[in-house]
Order: sequence, then C-alpha cells, then structure tokens
Amino acid sequence: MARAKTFYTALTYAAGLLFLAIFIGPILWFLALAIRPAETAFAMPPQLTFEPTFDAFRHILVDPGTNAPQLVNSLIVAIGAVLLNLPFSVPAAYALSRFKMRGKKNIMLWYLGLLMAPPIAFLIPYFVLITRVGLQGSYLSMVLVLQTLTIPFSVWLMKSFIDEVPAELEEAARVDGARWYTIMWRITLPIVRPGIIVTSMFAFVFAWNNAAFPLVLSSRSTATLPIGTLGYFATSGVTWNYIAAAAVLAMIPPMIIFLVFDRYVVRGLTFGSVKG
Amino acid sequence: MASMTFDGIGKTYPDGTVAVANVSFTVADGEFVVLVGPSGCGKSTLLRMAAGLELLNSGRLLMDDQDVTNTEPQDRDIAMVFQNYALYPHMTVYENMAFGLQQRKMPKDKIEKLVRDAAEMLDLTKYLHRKPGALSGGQRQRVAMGRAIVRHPMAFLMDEPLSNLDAKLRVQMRAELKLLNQRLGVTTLYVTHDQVEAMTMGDRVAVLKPVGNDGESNLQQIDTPQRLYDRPANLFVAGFIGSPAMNFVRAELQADGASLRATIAGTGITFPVPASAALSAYAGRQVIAGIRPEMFLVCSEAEALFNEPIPVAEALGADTFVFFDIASPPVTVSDAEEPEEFRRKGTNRLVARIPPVATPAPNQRLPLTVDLQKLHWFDPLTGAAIRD
Repeated sequence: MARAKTFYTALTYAAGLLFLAIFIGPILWFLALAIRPAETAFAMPPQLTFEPTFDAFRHILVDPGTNAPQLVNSLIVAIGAVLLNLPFSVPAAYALSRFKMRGKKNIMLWYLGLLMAPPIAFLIPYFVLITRVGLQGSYLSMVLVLQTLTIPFSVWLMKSFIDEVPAELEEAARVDGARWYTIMWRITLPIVRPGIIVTSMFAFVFAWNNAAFPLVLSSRSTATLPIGTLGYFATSGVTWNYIAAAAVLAMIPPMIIFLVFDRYVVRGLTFGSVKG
Repeated sequence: MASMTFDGIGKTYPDGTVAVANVSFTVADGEFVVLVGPSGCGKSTLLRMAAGLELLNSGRLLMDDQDVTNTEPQDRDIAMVFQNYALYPHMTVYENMAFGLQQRKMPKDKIEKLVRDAAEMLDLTKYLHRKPGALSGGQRQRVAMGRAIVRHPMAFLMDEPLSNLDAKLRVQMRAELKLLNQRLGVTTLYVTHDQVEAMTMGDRVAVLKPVGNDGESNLQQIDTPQRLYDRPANLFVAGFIGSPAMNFVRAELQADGASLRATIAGTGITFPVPASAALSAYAGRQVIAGIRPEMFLVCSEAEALFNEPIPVAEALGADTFVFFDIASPPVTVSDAEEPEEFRRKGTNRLVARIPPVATPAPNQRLPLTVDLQKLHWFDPLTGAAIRD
C-alpha cells in the first residue's frame, strides 16, 4: 500500500510539473531570450547554456534607451486610469448594490456587454472623437478611453464586494443617524477596502496591458511600453532579444503589485466571511 | 423617553403576503414590552417598522403623540440592537459607540464622557480600543448594548439580542439587560421567540401569531406575563405560553341540574364543572378544556380521572414530567409547536407535572386527577377563552 501511495504521489507531482512547464516554460524561455546573446536566439539545436548578458536591457533602457520613457508613459497612463476609475466605479457600484432603481439588471448587463465587445470596435469612433476635441497623442486621451474597459469591470467587481456587506450594518448606521453618503463613506467603503485595492490592481493591469487604445491614440512621445515593444517588429530584422527584454520589463510592475498586495487578493476572494 | 403607539398597523408585501395586519397597542413611557411569537408572526417586521427601516401600508406610528409614520430612521430618536449585533467591524469599540453621537454633531469632549460612562456601566472600559473581531460573543453583545445606551434615545428596539449567545451567557445577559432597563427606565420594545425570555423580561408581553384570515390581527393578547399565563385570551396564547405547553382535550358539556358536567370526547371520563354563566351557555355543546401540566394531581385509584400507563417520564430533578395517551381526538392549535409525531391519530398525548417521588416505573399506570377549579375553557370554533 505504501508503494501504491508513493506511486500516486509521484504521478501527481509529474502531472504538476508538466502543467508548470506548459505555463511557465514560455516565460522562462522569454526570460532566457532577453539575457542570451542575440545571435544564439534561434540557434539549432537550441543552446541551453550561454553566457548571460544584459546588453538587451542596456539597449532598451540606457543606450539608446528607447523604452525607458515608454515605461514612464505606461505608468502614467495606468495610474491615471486607476485614479480616474475609482471615483466613478465605486459610487456606481454602491448605487447598483444598495439603491432601489429601475433597470438595475439592464445596466449591469450593459456593462458586461462593454467588457465583451472587442476594443477594436471602439477604436475608430474614439479616434475620431479624440482628434476632434484635440486630445490626440495626450495621456488624457488614453486615460479617458481606457475607462471603457476599466469602469465596467470595476463596477462588477466592486458591486460583488459591496453586496457582501451585511445590510444590518447600514441599517444600524441609519438608526445611529447617518445619511447614505456618510454610511457609504464611513461604513461601507472602509469595510470593502480590500475590494477597492483588488479592483485598483485589476484596473491597473488592464490599463497596463492594453495595447489597442495607445496604438491609435498615443504619439511618439506618449507611447506606452506595449507600443514600444510592437515597434521592434517593424524594424528591419526582428530583434528578438530587445522584444524579450521589453516584455520582461512590462511584466515587472504587475508582478510587484501582486506580490505587495497579495494578501488583499486572498482576503478579497474570501470576502464572504466578513462578520459584523 | 417616550411612549410608542402602534395604531392599526398593517404591512402587505408586493407579492400579496400579509406580514402584519391590524396591530394596535401602546408601549407606555419607560415600559419594557416584549413581542413574542413563532417565526413568521411579524414580530421582527413590527420592530423594524418602529425603527423606520420598514415601511407600513396602513396605520400610524406615534412616538409621544407625534406621528412618525413617515419619518426616516435617522430622524427618529431611537436605538436598535440587532440580532447579529451589526457592529462596525473596522471601528474600535470606542468608535462604534461614538459613531451615533458624532452623527448628532456633539462636541468631542462630551462624546468622550458619554462613551466612557456607558463603557463603565457595561464593564467595557478595558476593551475600548479593541475591534469587534477581537471580542467574545458576550462582549460584542455588550458593545451593541453600549452603542444603544450611549445615545440616551427615546426608545430601545431589540431584535432577539440574546439569541446568538450560549445558554449560560444568555441567562446571565437576560438578568443584566433587565437590570439595565430598570436603571435607565427607557421605553423598550424587545423581540424574541423564546417565551422564557419574554416572561422573565417583559413588563408586558405581546403574543403574536402569523395572520391567516382577512381582518385578523397578529396581536393575540398583550398583558403582564402572569396574566397571560393565568388568563390566556385564546387557544393560541394558551398553547404558546407555558412549558411544557397546556394540554387540550375536547369535552361535551351537559347541564346537570344547576351545575354542569363535562365528558372528555372519545372516553368515558366525566367530571363536574364549576358552573359559570359563560360556560352554561355552552351546555349541550362541545368545548375545549385546557389543562396545564401542573394542574394534574397524583391521587388514589378511586379518585382518579385518568389512570393510564406512562410510556415516557422525564425526570428533571425538581419535577417529573409524565406523558400518557387518552383515546380522545387531538386538538390541533394552528402553529402550535408540537411536532407531528406526538399527534397520534385519534389519541391525545397529555403531559403532567408530578413530584419526583410519584414517578412510576415505565408503562405502569399512574392515577391522576385534575384541579377542576383551575381548568381553562375555550370555544372550539373561535378558540376564544370562555370566561365570565
């Protein structure tokens, strides 16, 4: 019996490793691509050992450093999108969760529809609109247009968090003499703070990873990192190690955010256990 | 402090469910009134209406003769204790208690004093800087109380505040709550489904039942605990108040000269009935007799009205409850909390409270008589008590 158990344990681990390889393999391969000498990128047979070099990173960040300002641009756009997102999506989610109103369900479905529609569908109208109001190439244009994605998503997520707050808490506050805005500000929002953090994280990542909107809305000076990365495909002779280095760079901020706010994600996902 | 008047209150939900109908009563200034009844009897709905959290369809709600029917909860000077306490989890005990005062724009030093006084009274001073999550159930319950008393409201509303505590703590908190009410003298409306809580805490107890027919009221009777027990207005109240519940048997009343005789239906058991004008009107008809378990007396076989084998005896130490069946059709009181398995078809299981020394061996017969003076009588159609 002990042997059978060992066998199954081994099998479980083998399956686990296989899946790990499938998911993490490409990332590792890309990481390797970023730090291996350019000429060994597609060598046949593949070279597993090589002298690591940070030339690609030096190229994209320092000399000539094409991608360094784009990293800053990405941060500006993503943080801007989060900051603009919260004051709209949180009260909307609160209202949809707590107030009696007609067509609540339709509004939620409409938001869902916005999320499901391919961003490409919005590109041309937004491009025309943004150009007409003279915002083309500005950070603001991208921050505004990204709300098409971040607000619906954030409203859905925030509403589910607010729904979990027991109604008795708000009733207690009403009996205590608080109006709805005081209740929202002092009771409900502090309780759903983990939810606000999780929502902000996702909004940040959505905005950070989005390439479609900046592609048409940004200018050379406001281009974000995904645009910069795509740019390498256009140059004669695709420079894989630069692309890999830029992609690795693009992975870092979301990873840092998830590492730092990890406990909120867990708390956010197990939010139902909140007790009064 | 204030009196609180429910004047013909009714509530029907949009789907047609009648939660509350035609309820009228007044809670006097400083009085402790308990609303008690089985689930679905509308007691919590009534309390939430008093708080302003639930709207009413008909009737008026007065506080100190002022109509507050359409006043928002924020503008009624009441405090509520919720069943699950509803403490603000992100605030300390101090902040929980201060929140209501802050909403009333009270100066900081006054808030501080009021909170400290209330905390002192409830023995919470040590915990003022803790959050609710770090408190025990009993402590949380006290914080919920503290949040209410710190405001010195016109009335307290309490929705089963002790039901989340374990049995021992509940008994302890029951006494503390009662003392607190006597000390503060604040008008209190208290909801519970536990009749022991109702009987021990209320100055008066309102017995409610789920509404059935049109025009019927949830409110069955409102009176002092002792009078509810001694003079229940109808079958429902008689069956609800008292533990174990009152026994009901169907009986035929016969005129016997100037007096009356009753025969328990389906049995040959017959006994003289102390005559009364109200009961005499029922001569020749069937009525329902109510026998409290303690009305049974152990007697000799010659005197016995009942002499049945005892299949079940529950010895509680001070008393023993004995159960026995008589071949009489059972009386079902709507919503009585008697489980189905005790209602044997065509028989009626009765329970008697006897002194422990008289406890019979299993299935041995026990001769019992009844203190006939104390019997309760009810109209079988309306369920109303038959009294002069």
